[in-house]
Amino acid sequence: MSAHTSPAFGSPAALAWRALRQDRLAVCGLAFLALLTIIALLGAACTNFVPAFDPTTVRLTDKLLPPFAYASDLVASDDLPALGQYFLGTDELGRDVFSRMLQGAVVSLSIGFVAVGISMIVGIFFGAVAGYFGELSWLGLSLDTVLMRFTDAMLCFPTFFLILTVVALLPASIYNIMIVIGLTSWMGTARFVRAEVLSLKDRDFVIAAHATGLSSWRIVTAHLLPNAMAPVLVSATVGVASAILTESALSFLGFGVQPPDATWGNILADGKTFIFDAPWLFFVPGVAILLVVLAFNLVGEGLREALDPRRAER
Amino acid sequence: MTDVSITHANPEVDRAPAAILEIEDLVVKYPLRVGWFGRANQYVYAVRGVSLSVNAGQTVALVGESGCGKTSLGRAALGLIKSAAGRVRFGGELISAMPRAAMRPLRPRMQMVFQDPFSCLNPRMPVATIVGEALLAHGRCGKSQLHQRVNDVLAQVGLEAQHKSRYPHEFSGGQRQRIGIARALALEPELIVCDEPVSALDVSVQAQILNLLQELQDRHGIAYLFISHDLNVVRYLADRVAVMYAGEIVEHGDAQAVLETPAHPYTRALVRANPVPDPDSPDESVVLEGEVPSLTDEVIGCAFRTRCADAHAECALTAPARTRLDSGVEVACHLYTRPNGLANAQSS
Amino acid sequence: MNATDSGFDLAGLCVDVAPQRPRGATSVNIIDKVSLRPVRSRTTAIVGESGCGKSLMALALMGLVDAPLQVRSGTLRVGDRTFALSDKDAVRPLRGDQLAMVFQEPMSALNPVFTIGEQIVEAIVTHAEVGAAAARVDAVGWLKRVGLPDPQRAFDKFPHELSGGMKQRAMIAMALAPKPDVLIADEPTTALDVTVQGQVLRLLGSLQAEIGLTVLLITHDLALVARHAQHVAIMYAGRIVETASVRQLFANPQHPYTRALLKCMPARARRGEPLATISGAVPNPNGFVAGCRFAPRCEFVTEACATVPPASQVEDEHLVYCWNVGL
Repeated sequence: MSAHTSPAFGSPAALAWRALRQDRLAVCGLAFLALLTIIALLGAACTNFVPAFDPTTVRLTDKLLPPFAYASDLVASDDLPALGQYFLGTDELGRDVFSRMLQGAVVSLSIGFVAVGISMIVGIFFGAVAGYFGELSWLGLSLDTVLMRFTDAMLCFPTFFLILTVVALLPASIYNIMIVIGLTSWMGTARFVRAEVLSLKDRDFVIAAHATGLSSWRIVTAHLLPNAMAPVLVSATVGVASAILTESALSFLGFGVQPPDATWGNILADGKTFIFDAPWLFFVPGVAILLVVLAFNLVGEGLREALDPRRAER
Repeated sequence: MTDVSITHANPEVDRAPAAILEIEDLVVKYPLRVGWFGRANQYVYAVRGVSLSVNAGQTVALVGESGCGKTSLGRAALGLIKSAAGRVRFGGELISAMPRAAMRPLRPRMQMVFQDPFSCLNPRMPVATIVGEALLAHGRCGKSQLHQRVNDVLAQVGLEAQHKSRYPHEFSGGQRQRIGIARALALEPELIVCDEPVSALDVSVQAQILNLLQELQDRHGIAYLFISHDLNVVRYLADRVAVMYAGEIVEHGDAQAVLETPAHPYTRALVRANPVPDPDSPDESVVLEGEVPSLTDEVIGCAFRTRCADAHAECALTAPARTRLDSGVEVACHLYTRPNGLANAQSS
Repeated sequence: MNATDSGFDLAGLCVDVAPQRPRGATSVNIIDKVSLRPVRSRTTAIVGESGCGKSLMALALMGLVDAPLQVRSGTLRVGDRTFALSDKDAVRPLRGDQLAMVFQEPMSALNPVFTIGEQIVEAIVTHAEVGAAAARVDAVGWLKRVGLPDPQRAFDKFPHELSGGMKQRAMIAMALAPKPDVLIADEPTTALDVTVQGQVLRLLGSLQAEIGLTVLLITHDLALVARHAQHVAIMYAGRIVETASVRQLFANPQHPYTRALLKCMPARARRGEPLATISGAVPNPNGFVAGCRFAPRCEFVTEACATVPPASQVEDEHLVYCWNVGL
């Protein structure tokens, strides 16, 4: 118990933000992701409306050009890339890799966020119900047992193969992929939330909420979940990275988003045939994926430190 | 004392001795080991047949050491944990078997103040919400009047309106305890169970909170079930005292009588062990050798006999019945059971 | 108390907190020129409320103060050797050897994966060249001395198998086995039941007499001090405000803070009368005023209080740090 420093002001969220800002690596990651989001949004506008950034323009005369190569004179003026230069080279159909990467950015990021969003909603729901209402039982089996064994079963499933199967059976759209990834990655979140809720249930302020006659819904949403979110947020940041990787793997295998839509995964897939002739087709999306995953992981680590309850001053 | 149920607008003028809380033969147990399919096959009996009552506007202290079951009793009294046997009546209504939904409208009338100021408040909620959310939940006031109501309650506990938007971690222990009291007070309860409310506070802050509790009782006529291990605080605040040991009440009666002329050997040990801030007062503490009995099995005879200097053969055979002494104090001890011992069911 | 009586001699301890952020912030003083001279083979109590710095002082004595807290100055004389407390490495050899410490929570101070016997043996062997067998005999002897029933069996018990009072006794055995001169007990009984509290403190008292142990008892409970200590120092906001023998303090408290503390104890109040309180609250180190730190809450404050009051001798052994002595 210390009165060493003055009491920190602000809401716990504000305090956590201040603590996060101290972690240089996390701030770098956050800055990178912010920049990437801006580029992706701008890129979406550019690729749809600005002809110079059209990712579908095929220029058979300019196949497999290296990065920073200039467009040849044979290219029609409508089909010229921005500033007449291919910043990241061209692929085997003469399409501007830079434009394709821009299009893929939006797709990859949105798959990541939506998938994680779905998994968080499902996971929080299962975890909160199992943690708070777990003692309710029918026929000798408690709700907690039922939900958790189901979670365990899902964990044992080789989810990647489940995704492949579903994707093979359903039409391969971006939405299906998002939903499938989301519905197969909620288990970790459910466990975290359940563990937090179980330990929070016995805290005095939760008993006080019960004593003042608040409804179960209110107790769970206003008292339990806000205090249980720390591990969820951390696993969410890492989850986005993991979703992006899964999507890339799917596309690499040919099961993901179909051409001509570009995602970083399928640019990578196309590039594998030309790895010796045009290595940039492989490395550019690969490095991009690497940087994004790294950035998310750094932010996740930083969040974990910032939200660590031991940091909180009594 | 006659048992008259009259509610008075001004409790100071005429304290009608209506029992607001009546506990009869309450048993609380916790599962210890869980067998196949989640069935518990061994229990810890935290409360083993306790009978107690609290009158309106009165302070009844529940005294005992750690593990005696007083916290469990306090929570069971409010219906926060399920009791295995026995009855709890609040304002005449039987609440011990009431389903949760039926209890909701009763809850504002019976509140709790907790021991640890650092865990009794939701760290992610501002003070205004902590104090006011129950008011909204029970429809006591609309959103427009909420601010004013919260300001009023905060003023009553000695906090300022500007504290409303702050978060618990910005306050000291004493202030947090005041916020906890404000939360309980906002609903205008008739009974507050205070579970060691000042044990975690410094002496000077303790004095402020005790004054506050007394003032609130004088003003609103709130009854207190005051759980504590500190006999000095109990002597100062309580009208009646119940001493608890290993899940049972061993002595129960008027505070002054119990604390100044303790009858039960355990109460005597507690009173003597209580340090007094006077270097000249002799240290008469008795050493309690022996182990506390395990509460997982049924205790045969008196639970205190393993540590009692006055134990004799009968103590190991039968549990002592409650005897009423001339002072009005009830004791559960073989030293006092007479051949035609009076075992009273209920004290008022 | 003259120099030959002291178990040890602490002079001029100053501890600051040097915040690392924001950069360049000035350090804030917490403990200011605290000096202490406990009497050999006696119990000296350090009494204060939370935030007064008493636990911090104990840590400073043991060389356990870490950043952002910093010992700015202070010397410790043990026997005929003097140590500068700002140098943590200088004090390290003393730790456990001549200066031992017992903490408030026996549960967290004992390692749950080792038996208490093993932990006592470890304490012995760290500070003396003793073989394992001899150390074991010694350890069992200590377990007996601290009053654990059946010491041979207790040796093989794990901390979780013992009750709170017994764990605390085991901790005392661990602290005293290397035969230190001084034992610092930081709120040793706060987490224990009242019936056990007395036993543990009486144990310390009897060890005092038996082995000539000097005990520094840190507590917030004046009632315990009345029963179990012989000398007392009252601390407020990082400074000592009054030192006296226990008898003198209770009979003739001089400092306004001491008087207020005694008055607001429920044991000294009458039923039905509001308890006396001290207006205001214990200040945060950022809010310490220049001059007497109790001045903002004192009912006798005068202009003189803007400077730090020196020690005034009231009686033999009784010192007060207040301008208004005699009121």
